[in-house]
Amino acid sequence: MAPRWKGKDAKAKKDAQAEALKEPMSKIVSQIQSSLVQSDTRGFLSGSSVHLVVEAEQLHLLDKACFGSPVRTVEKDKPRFQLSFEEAFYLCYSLKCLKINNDSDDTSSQTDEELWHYMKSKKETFPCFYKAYSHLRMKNWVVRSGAQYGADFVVYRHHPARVHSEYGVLVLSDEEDKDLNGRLRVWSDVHCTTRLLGGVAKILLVLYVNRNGGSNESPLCLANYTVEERTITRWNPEQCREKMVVHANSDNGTG
Amino acid sequence: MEGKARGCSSSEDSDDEVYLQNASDEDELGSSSGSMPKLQFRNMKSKGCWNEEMGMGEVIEKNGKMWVTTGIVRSGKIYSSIEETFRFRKSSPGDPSFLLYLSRGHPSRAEIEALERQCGGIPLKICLATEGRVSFFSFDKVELPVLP
Repeated sequence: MAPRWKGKDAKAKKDAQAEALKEPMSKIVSQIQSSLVQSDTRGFLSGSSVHLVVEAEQLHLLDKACFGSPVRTVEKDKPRFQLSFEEAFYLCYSLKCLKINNDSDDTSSQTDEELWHYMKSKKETFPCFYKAYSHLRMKNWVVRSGAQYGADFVVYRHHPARVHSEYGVLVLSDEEDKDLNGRLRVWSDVHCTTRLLGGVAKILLVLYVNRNGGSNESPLCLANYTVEERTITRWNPEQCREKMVVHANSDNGTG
Repeated sequence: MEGKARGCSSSEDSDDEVYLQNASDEDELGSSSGSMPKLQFRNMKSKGCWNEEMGMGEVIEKNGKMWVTTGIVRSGKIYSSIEETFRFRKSSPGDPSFLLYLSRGHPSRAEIEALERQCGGIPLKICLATEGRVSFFSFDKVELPVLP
């Protein structure tokens, strides 16, 4: 599946692609990384998410880099920003540009270990989800919640304003006892997920996270985890022939 | 769209014509000692003509039961893709496009990997048949590219 850039006509689509190449996501992430370090921005734990009070510059950069979402509050002079656990831990642990306090009144930051334990206690699947999230982010894909598509994540090549997403992602673990995420255990779930994602022009991408016998007691064990990527697609014999014909035509230069 | 078939000749001996063997024919071992491949004519042979515009062979004379399940229909005509025309020989079919595993239950990831090892690099599809309805699924390993 080729990238599908957004725009009202062919020229606008080409422009979106050119803009994305001129300012790639890796560069944008570096910008937000520097900005958060310089401003010494603090996050604080809030239930199953992390909140920030940010300046206009950070707000702008977080949006460009596609981290988190704004939160509307009564104090309109202090814009708040909300990060998922995966996003917050990525900025804190992997990019080392965000410190996270226990609550908004606390002045001391949590250690990586403390954060890990807190997030794990709130979300049992957090270790595998974080490994999957960081795996994709480290390849410079934009990762957003997949809730509206019945998936764990959706991934984009660049900002969602510029390109349609190509994959809906499910995170499955390779634990011997059971997969905590509980997905794709029966054929009907395979049907449901492939059809739902197909209906919105996405391919199902499964990330199998393998702990390789390691524990999940510390974020250090993430180094031992591995991720295997697989797509699951339905095959339609009639469509297959159409593709072959088109392929044959293009081979003969008459396509 | 009906383009004129280039090179079409009324002569039975024209080199441009494609002779399609009936799928039910047996490949007999040639007794000829010469290096030239032995050309055998079949009673049930079909006749086709290459259509440059379509990029396929148009089946002009259709003989044999194989056309019930072979070929591609466009505007009421039957065509044969180049793969179907030239590549398949029963005595030496080459690698299949894919292998099909018939499954009732959902195979685990370990089972899929074991099946893939048996396939020796040929793509595998899992076939689910329930209550007369058939679905095919591919579980393909991919490597997402590292983006700029």
